[in-house]
Amino acid sequence: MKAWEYVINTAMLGTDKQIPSPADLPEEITGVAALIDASETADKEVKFLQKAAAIYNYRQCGFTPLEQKELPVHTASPETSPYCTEAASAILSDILNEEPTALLGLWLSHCHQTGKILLPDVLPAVLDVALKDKSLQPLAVACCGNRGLWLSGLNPSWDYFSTVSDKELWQTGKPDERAGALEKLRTTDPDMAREWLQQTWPQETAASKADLLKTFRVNAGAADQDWLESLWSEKGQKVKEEVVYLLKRIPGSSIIKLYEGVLREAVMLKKEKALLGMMTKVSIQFKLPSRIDEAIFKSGIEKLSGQKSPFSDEEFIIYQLIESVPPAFWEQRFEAAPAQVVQYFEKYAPAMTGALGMAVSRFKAASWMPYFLHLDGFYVDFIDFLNPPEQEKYLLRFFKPDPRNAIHYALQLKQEWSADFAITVLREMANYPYEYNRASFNKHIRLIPVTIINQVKAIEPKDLNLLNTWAKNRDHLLKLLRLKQQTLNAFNA
Amino acid sequence: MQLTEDQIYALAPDDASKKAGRDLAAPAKWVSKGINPLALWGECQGSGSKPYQTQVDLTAIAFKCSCPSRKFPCKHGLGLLLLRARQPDLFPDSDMPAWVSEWIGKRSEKEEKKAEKTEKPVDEAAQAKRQQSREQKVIAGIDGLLVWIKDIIRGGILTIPEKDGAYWDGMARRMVDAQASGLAAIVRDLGATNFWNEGWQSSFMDKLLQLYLVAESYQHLPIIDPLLQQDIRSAIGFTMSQDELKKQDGVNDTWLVIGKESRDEQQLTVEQNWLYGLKSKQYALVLQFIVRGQVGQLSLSTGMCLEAELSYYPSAVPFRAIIKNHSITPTPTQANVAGFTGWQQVAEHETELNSKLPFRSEMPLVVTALKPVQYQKQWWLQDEQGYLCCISSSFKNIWQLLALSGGEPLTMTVIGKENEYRPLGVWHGQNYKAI
Repeated sequence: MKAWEYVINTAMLGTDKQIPSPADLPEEITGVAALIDASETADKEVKFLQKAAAIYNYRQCGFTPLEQKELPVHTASPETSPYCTEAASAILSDILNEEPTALLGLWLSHCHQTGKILLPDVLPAVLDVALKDKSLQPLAVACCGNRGLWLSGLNPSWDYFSTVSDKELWQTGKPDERAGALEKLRTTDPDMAREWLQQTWPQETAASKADLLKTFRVNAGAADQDWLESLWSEKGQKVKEEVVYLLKRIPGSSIIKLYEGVLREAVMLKKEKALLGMMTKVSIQFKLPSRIDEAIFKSGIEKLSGQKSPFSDEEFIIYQLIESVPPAFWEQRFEAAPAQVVQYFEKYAPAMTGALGMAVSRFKAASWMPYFLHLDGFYVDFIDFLNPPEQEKYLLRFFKPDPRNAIHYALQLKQEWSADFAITVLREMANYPYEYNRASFNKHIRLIPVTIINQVKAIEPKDLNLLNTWAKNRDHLLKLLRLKQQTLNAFNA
Repeated sequence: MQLTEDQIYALAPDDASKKAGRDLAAPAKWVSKGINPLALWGECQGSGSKPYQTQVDLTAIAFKCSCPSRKFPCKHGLGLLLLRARQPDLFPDSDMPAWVSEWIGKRSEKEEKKAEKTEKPVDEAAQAKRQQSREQKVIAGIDGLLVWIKDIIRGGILTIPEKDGAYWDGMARRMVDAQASGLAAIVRDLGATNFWNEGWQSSFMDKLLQLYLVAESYQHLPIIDPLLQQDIRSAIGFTMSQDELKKQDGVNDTWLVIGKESRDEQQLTVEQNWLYGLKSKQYALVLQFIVRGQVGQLSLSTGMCLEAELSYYPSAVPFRAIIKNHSITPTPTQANVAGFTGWQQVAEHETELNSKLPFRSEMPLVVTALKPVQYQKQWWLQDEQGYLCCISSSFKNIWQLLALSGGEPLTMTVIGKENEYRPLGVWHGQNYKAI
């Protein structure tokens, strides 16, 4: 409004300068303005303030809304799934107030499993949490219904609803999206993933080559061997390192054959008759050949054991080589079954048993694992290959000698703990209340079963000085367990 | 009377109380609990040896708890209400225990005594003398204020953002000394203008002209309409006895709390409760001033419904009111709410009010069928006829509004002026929600 602009302009400069003349005023105000101007007693400032007040009132009374009848209609599609109950939504609000994304994930997964969707008023909060925690995005997308999809179209931050195919991501995505798409394909169709990368390999930069090759760590196998062997000539150091890393995990690769060749000469299982042939004396002898192909040292085998190492340099080289060959090699070499091989190592070369165990881990030789479970070494990679009760049993063995490590791996289990195991873990956690604090419980609440809710109160640390700190964590844990219980009840889970 | 969770949270004095109350909404925390039409009660096992006795008067939403908390309502009161809202089956309908019936009995006795209370005789001569003395002080203060305003206008407002706090505070103190607390508040508000905002000049001039209008009109009070005189006196800071107000006939209605906001002013918490009369279609503002650490008389939250008699302060545009007596009733369905049908109707209404009272404060309005739309990279509310008013940039819950709307029109309460408004609450399903 022009008259108001004059008021502002005049006020900015001050009344010593120009003031709005009656000609600039709307018709309805000119009469009032003339009366004000005619006053003989009022000074310039009063006249301005009075006219400005009249214009101010005129402005307020004369507002007209903007007319825009042609705006495109943009509404959310009707929902096809039923909403969750108000009670379940109230629990969700409580969960959102506690910031535990693990509980939110649990709530959303139950909501999704029961075919329900979120009530509209919590959608922005859930979409915001999923924006920060990508692992929640698929569930958020599934539970937010058509209203969520509609909202994501309006708020660019929530664009994770867009369903771009992996192939499209591979062809047009950002570097991390391409690597993500390739890694996803490696899990389902490793051969196709290799073909994708082979097609674009000449156009890839050295940095992206190394990153994309890393995705081959998923399901690396014999089918990849030929192509990986052909990459020895690559110039990039990081690419070479990744190629070596991968080939060292593919039985039958040139590197592994090289290692096996050295071990064939270096490790001998000797069986000698003793006590007039009544007994057989068995021993394993380790002796590196006088000439070793330098290529094995270029592939990452260290020559020197270090001052504090219990091994000599020669033993250390052999130890690394044993770690790096598939355990099946020893079946052939010793002409013995896996159980027998492990027994030989344990009995006649105990210092090298760890290396064999590491080889079992590295080559995921599941059939060998049972023979190591009773041994002293803690082979963390075995855990994924055991069934849940075995996993807990295996971890329980290490709670006494190495509780923190055992807790660390217990927290990485995929499934909810059994009640007894949970109590054992929590008893140990109570001794480290600064490490296993509220944030830690927020993150891992999915693992802790609600059935122990009444037993948690009795858990106390060994050091009573830590009791107060633990008590706060414990109260928080109880609160989370109650929320978990309410969530399960709300969805009849 | 069943409050929704949102309504219960709105009663909390702060976020920490909300959180603590939420934690107490678990059956295991309560040793005993019960309900009847008058009260809700429970015993909560706290850190003390005896459980805390928590009770809620359901007829007027009042709290009492034996815990030592100075917060009001305390976390136990909130937790008990939340538990009742979530799991009503856990509360058997039973007789009140002695500790509850005693409190409820005392409350009704107090109400009766209040009603019977007779006024002390007033020394009218002394009162008139005090009044005359105050008016002289106000006139002297206003003279100084008008000179100050003219100085600003003469020098121009270009350099106003450079003025420090003492500049505004000095004039505000002079107004307090002149017993014109209302003018002091406007001066402080003027100094609190966000000078970093683009277009601060317009909002500054709005406030300066309001200040000028009030101050100038006080000098011509005798020739002004009596109701408008009351508005001017009230804007200057003259108060009106609430006992006097209560003697007047009020408006009996079912009042929906359409919005509630609190702000801290020095040692006071000023609570604004906006009400809408479902039968009378009138709006009202009920203010509550709570001194730090003390308890407010009213516990209202958005979406709550009261059966109440309200007395309006005399005004050319009656808006501010006090509640004479009230009881909580169930929230009505949306069908009972008749609001403005579009922005043009709102504009006509606002014009009428502005013509009666040019320096009035913002009033909420219930408008039907508004939908949030994006136009020229800004959010607007569009009515059924296609007219738009923009959503104030101070409104932070646009995504929640959109989530509730889904692009469909909603009946909502908005507050603002001219073509900029801020939603306070919406009807969604059968519930009225604060937003």
